[in-house]
Amino acid sequence: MSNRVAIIGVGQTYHASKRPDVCITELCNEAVRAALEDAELTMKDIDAVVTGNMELFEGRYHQDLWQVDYIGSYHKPGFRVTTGGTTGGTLACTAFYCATSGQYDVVMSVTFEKQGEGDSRAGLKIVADPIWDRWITTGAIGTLARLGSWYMKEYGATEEHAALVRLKADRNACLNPHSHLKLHLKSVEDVLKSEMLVPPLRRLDMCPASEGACAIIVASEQKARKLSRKPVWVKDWVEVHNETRYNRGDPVSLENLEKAATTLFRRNGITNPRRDISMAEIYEPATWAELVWFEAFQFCQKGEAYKLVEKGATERDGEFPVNPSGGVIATNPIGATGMIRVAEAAMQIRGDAGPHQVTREVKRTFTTAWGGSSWTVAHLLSKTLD
Amino acid sequence: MSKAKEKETQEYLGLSHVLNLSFNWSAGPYLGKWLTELRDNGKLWASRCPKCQRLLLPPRIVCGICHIRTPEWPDWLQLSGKGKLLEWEKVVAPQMNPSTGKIEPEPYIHGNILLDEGVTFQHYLEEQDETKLKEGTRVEVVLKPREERQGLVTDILYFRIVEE
Amino acid sequence: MTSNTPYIVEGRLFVPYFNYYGALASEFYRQLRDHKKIMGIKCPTCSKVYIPPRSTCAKCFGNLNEWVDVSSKGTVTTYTIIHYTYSPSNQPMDVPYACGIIQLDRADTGLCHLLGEMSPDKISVGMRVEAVFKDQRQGNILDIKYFRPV
Repeated sequence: MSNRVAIIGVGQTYHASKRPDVCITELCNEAVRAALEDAELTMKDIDAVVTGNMELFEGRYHQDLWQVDYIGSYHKPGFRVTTGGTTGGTLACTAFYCATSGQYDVVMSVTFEKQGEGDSRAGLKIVADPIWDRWITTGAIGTLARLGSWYMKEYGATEEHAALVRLKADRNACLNPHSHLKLHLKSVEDVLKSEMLVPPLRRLDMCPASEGACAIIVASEQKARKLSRKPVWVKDWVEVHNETRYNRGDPVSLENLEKAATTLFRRNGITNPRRDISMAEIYEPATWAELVWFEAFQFCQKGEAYKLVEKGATERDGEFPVNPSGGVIATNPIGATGMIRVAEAAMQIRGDAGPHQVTREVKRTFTTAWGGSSWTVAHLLSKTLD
Repeated sequence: MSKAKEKETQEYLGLSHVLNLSFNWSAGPYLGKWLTELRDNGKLWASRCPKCQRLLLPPRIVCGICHIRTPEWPDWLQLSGKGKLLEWEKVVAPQMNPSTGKIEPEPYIHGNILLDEGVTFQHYLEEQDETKLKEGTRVEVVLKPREERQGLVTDILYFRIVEE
Repeated sequence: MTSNTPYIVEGRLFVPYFNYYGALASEFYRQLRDHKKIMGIKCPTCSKVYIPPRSTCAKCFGNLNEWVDVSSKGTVTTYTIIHYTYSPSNQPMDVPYACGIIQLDRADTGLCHLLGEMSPDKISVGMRVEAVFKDQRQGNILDIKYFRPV
């Protein structure tokens, strides 16, 4: 890496199922103003702006064109990046690449989704190749359901364990002022009586369709030290892709996730992930995903994740907090979701996340984004440079 | 707390519109041949990567892992259409069909089938009763009659259980 | 060997959407629909009056909320005649029709809209036009039917 980079500002909107009071570009503007306020900067201090969302949820195209006035990219360099579900995570990486290149010192990255303006599941179906996959595969929701049936069969987990994950997410979301779904669920029964979508996946096992935006401001080392009192250092990041076909042999497609984690851990001398890292914000579009992918990311042995959840190890005040923000299953404006993980992790490192701050000291975080046929993006943030 | 709440009494206007676009997608030489063979001859094919030897269904011009060109037809493997069921999903909640804009229920259960030749294929299952489905159940492909086939992957109607 | 003829699969996307204008632009369209008034928004720092209105100034990034009635009369700054049917379901008028950028009297930016009640060869840059409103208005830009010569 040529220059080291840090996150010096984060902002997000108050996510909701519908925000009729703002149009798409005004939604982005809210996140941008929040990030500028957090960093104590003005638009003049930003050298470049990158932006993106997952296209066709709103029936709008070339969003970077329409956003210019609202995200401050008037006469500034920058471009649109769109990578499906991983978009938010990739846009964080994009800002890191721009800032580390030496070409720009302060880069803002803006992501959003306004899913209430279209049909989310039609939007997801359109992702599938129109000649082959679109008509014969179940796409994302089928993949997630399959994680559940596989995990239960392979390791003896039950639907109650998935419900425990939902309850934890809801408890955390109720403390997070920005989260979308604050359901105040009381018991496992509350989760199990929700509508069945694709067995064993229930509505409350799945993420919502949210409207929201997120922005982060990234600076190169010199500028970060000058402009910020609490820079959050970006140690490393990686994107892993695979062949795009939904109907591959492996029922659960974990190789991308495993590779992302292995690469980051190897490059950064992490030999015991749960000890060397303080907490994780994992992109989990379903409760089952949090369980299975926690293992794929090597935070525990295979078949152990649901036992850790039972013991409360992944709670906000647990030994290894996972998704103290409430995670994706509480808030999911798809284009922004990957970046919200990074923003939340940065706030946790700074110690100013708010009521949902974890109780242990946060020195290093692991954040991920997921999309398509298991594409994975992962980042490692750190309180200090070493 | 959110601004939205303050403005509850205000009328929020918006614009309804439909993305109504037609397309002519090129299937390419390999997939085009595959679809032609299915429509005209009722045959299913897979191609094999000359390096890693894995079967590709549908055949594609490059193996994504080895980054080399794969052989053209007829240097492909004809599939028997028989295999065993690995897992299945029943999509209970109806979804919007993006080419009509209508909410439609899924007509069948989706199965992930390991074909005997050693490649997986996801498609519909004839059996609507989930209790009759087990991992390892033998299934075989059922095509639409020749006059109904259009050169689409849905020329395969579904997979049915083979009674043994 | 593989077929040499291209293999084409026909398909269609037909997906409905509803895009919210947001609170600020809702006010603009409400004025069009209910009062046949065209409103712009002024940036106090740049003193520029934008139409259609937006909540952030492109130049100075300020928050905008000062409404100005920009008048329904203006000047044609440029125009073009469309002869080509590019989207049978989506074009506002039958070809040939004219479309121009109209500088409304109290606005600093142009408004792109249709020019009607004049034959294409009579249109000129600098001519004065006024908005003609539809009788049935729904709260979108085509509540203005077109601009006609004054």
